[in-house]
Amino acid sequence: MYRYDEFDHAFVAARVAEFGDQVKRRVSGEITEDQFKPLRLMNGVYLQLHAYMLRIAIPYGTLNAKQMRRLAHIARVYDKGFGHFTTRQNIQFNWPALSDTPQILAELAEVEMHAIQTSGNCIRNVTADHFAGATVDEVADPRPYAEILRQWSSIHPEFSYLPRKFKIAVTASEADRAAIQVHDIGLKLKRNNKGELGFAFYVGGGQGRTPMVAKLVSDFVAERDLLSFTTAVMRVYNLYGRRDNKYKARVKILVHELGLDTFKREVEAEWAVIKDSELVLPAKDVAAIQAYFTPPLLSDRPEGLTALADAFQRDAHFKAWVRQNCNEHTHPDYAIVTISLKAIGAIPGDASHVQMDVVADLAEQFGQDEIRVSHEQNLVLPHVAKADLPALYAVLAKHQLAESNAGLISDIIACPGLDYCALATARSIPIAQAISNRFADLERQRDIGELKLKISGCINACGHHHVGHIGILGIEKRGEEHYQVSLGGAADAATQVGEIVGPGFSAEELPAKIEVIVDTYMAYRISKEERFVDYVRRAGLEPFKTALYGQEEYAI
Amino acid sequence: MKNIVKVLTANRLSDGIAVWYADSNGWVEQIGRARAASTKEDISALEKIAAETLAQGQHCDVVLIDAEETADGPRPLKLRERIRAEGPTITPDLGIKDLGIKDLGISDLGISDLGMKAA
Repeated sequence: MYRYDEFDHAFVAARVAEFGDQVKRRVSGEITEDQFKPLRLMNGVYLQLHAYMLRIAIPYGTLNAKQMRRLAHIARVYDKGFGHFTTRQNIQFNWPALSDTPQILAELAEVEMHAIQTSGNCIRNVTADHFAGATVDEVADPRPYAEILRQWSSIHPEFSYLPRKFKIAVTASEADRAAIQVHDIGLKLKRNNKGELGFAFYVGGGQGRTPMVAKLVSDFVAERDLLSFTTAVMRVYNLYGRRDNKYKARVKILVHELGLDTFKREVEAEWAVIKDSELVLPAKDVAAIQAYFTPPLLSDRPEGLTALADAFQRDAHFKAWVRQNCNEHTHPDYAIVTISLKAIGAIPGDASHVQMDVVADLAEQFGQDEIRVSHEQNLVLPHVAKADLPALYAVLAKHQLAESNAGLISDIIACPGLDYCALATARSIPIAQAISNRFADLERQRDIGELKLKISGCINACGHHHVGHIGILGIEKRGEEHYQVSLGGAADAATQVGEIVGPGFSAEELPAKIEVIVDTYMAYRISKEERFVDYVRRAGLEPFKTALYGQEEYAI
Repeated sequence: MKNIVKVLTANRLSDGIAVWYADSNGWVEQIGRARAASTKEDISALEKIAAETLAQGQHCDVVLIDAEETADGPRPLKLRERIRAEGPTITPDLGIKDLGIKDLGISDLGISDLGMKAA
């Protein structure tokens, strides 16, 4: 993984000192809250309902054991013992005191972490496929490019005061696991017919109150042109993006209002000027960054197959976990392990400091010292020998980290909602817990098959509800929490925004209504191979409307 | 019938904790002890305190909110403010007063037993 060089260390240390001074001046009254607020936001410090919230960047979701232990330490010493992994592959702490934040940032800097650009109208943490560098279905590791973009975009003087926040995601496989088409810029690493690396370049996706699927702006941008083409897109956005209305300020609105052809023409015109400038990405620089991401040297462990077969005989739970939570690795003796942060009834994405330490230990012992955070709010150990899976599983099970539910209905994405968030209009977490408990039976979950359920506590859609196979949006209606349900969304290679099924439900009604939706699918699917989302696409909403509202009552 | 009153709330600058204005006790962490204003004069007095508090700069988001009188003191009318006053609804053991070090482990977070075989 990437390691800080001298410049990185000096830059982060300077920022920590600067923020420490800003906090001191705010507390002494030298600067006002209005002056301080943008400064604290630039360093990831929000003020939420109950306390401050600190959002820490985990670039493209990659971290090592030492860094995870530091997060556990922060949870233990400065928070209430837990942290929340987010859909941007970051972590948030819900209870830090403002006066502690300079010290927290100093301790993060010691392990090459920071909270810069986790808020504000800038380019946010660049996300990537959480299986990157280990999965069989990628053309190359996308993380070096995410790192190049991270370095290029960090305190970029031209792009630090954009019309709105800006999110970039990178994947390198057809089975998009990074949800690139609901990002401001989505990059798919690919090879052209000459075998050269480049990017399919998507722009203008996003969720929030106006969900849109990104448009393909270029089918192939060569590797050398990554930064110049990205700069051209950013310049067009920075110049024409609306600043008069924050709800219309994202690049998706600009692409929509200009039209794809006009937007492309503007980008091409800008690009023509800068294409051969200093923004050309030198091959040696790419190679230097790629060297940080050299795959670990994995020794052959052919005993794994026998070990697994034996363990399967002894333990049906283990067998179910391997089948649900482990994916094929480029090395046949190894597996990619998804550690579920969705134990039945648990808070999606939350991990206690004990769990964080356990995962750090396991990464060192079994996982080549590498951990990933997925945008689905789980953790991943990307390089585990199959022979070590039984021992790994035993430890995970002791710490409520071995739920065999990756990709199933209880693997729910949920934002913090009204329990913590100052913007939320309804709670998300108790809804997730109620649905998780209702579908607790794993055998039933497996029978239902892949089903991505996503919950947001407000229209900002941090819980990705628009692209859930089942999406739930919490709103306030006449002073009460009320939940709209949409069906058929997806954030993979066939990205689609879900459609609202009909009038919403109260919190009390909702879990039973979700069960009606699932039962409808189970009753009418052609076979188990027809996934929930496939059935919705084939059958439309009518069967669900009828089941939920009766024959004549489903009109909105 | 509900007896609706106004209370003055803010977040403390140093740690962000939600607090309520309570007369001679100043700002307190328990809304039940908050000063409730129902007359025009009382509300004006709270507005004046809000302006002074903002000017002093040691509190953020200083606002008057609606509450109802209960036997335990004022209780906010809106769910958002109730959650703000009473803490997250999902982990009541993480009350807003306790900012100390706490070894929650995972069992304390109310997670059910998975019935999995331990090592």
